[in-house]
Amino acid sequence: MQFRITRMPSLAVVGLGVALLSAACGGQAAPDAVPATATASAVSSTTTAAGSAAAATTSSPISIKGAWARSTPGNPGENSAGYAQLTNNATQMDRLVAASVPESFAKAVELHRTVRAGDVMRMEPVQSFEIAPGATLTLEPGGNHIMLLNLPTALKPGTRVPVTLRFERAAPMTVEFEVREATGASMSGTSMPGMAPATGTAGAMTPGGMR
Amino acid sequence: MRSKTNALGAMLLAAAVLLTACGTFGPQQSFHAHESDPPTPVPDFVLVAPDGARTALSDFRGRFVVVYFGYTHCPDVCPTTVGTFAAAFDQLPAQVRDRYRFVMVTVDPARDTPEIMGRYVAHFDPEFIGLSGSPAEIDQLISAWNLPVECGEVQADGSYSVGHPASAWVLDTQGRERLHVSFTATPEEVAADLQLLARKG
Repeated sequence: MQFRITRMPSLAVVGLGVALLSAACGGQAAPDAVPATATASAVSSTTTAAGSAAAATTSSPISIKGAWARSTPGNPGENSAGYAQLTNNATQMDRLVAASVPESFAKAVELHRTVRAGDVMRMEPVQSFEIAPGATLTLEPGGNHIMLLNLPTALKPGTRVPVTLRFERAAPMTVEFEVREATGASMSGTSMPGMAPATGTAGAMTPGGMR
Repeated sequence: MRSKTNALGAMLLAAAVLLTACGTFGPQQSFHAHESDPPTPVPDFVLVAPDGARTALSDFRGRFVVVYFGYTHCPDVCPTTVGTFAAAFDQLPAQVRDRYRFVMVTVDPARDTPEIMGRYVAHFDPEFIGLSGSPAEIDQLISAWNLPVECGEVQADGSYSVGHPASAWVLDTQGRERLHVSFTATPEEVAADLQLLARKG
């Protein structure tokens, strides 16, 4: 299955794994597991925060900007999300196929998209995000995102999460996602849907520098 | 004939300029958000606050109330929405802000206890209110409000997602539904709408 790189794959109603049950959730066990979980979380502990980000950019055809993750309140088993803009500078199609973080940050990582179906918002796991040659995949609030599941400790603003991104063609790269305040106040203009500029101004990962 | 046409054209142009000027520089007259017309009373509910107190929606009568239905394991849309309202509240003049309350109600009572709801909303704004209840109480609320809520499949690790409403409700001081604010709204748009509603009453 392929996914477009638009801001919101708005009306793609692909009822993936969503059961319409009456009201309050969580009572039923379901037999199926999503294979993407295993793929995405398999590499976790091999990553180290230091040094790998800078090394990865020098040769990769994928360039990444505006990488950030949401701060969290510290509730048990809570989740977060990571966002960034990924540009494919190669002449061939590539795909983001998995993401992972050290287990000290999250127990599992999945690629997700948020879908609006009429009045309801839901999330769907996806196998991969396509990035055409010269195109930019935008992961942003209300759209495609990297979901961080079951965090052992809260993500505090100002800290960083090393996220290893795996591609179909390009070599894996580890990018530090800057943890930002939840209010939106500190990210004014860079990430709200509908007013996000094409390239973020903060958390940029370019050769030689991240904030 | 020609001069008449020109005169008419000039008048139309002047009128258009005037209208544009009013639209651009005058006080905001219409809402960015979807307006409920006519204002409709919403069903009351009684749930549990983080300190254990039974709290009714009607307890807030006399204030404007933003009611948002979401869940704390929601990584994307819920924090975006609550964060947008927190930023919007920060932009309100103190006397307007005092007239508003923000209430988040969980649609996932199996995981979201009142304590967890309290910690969650306080992460965005210490004055925001988080409410939960028993699954039966939340079920009853979902049905009374006719909320679009969908349960995702439970994964091997026990996690699941919940489909939830795309908008937040804004109620007036008489507990009537006035605005539906989409999660795509900016803090600036929300702040402008909340001020306009406070002016209109």
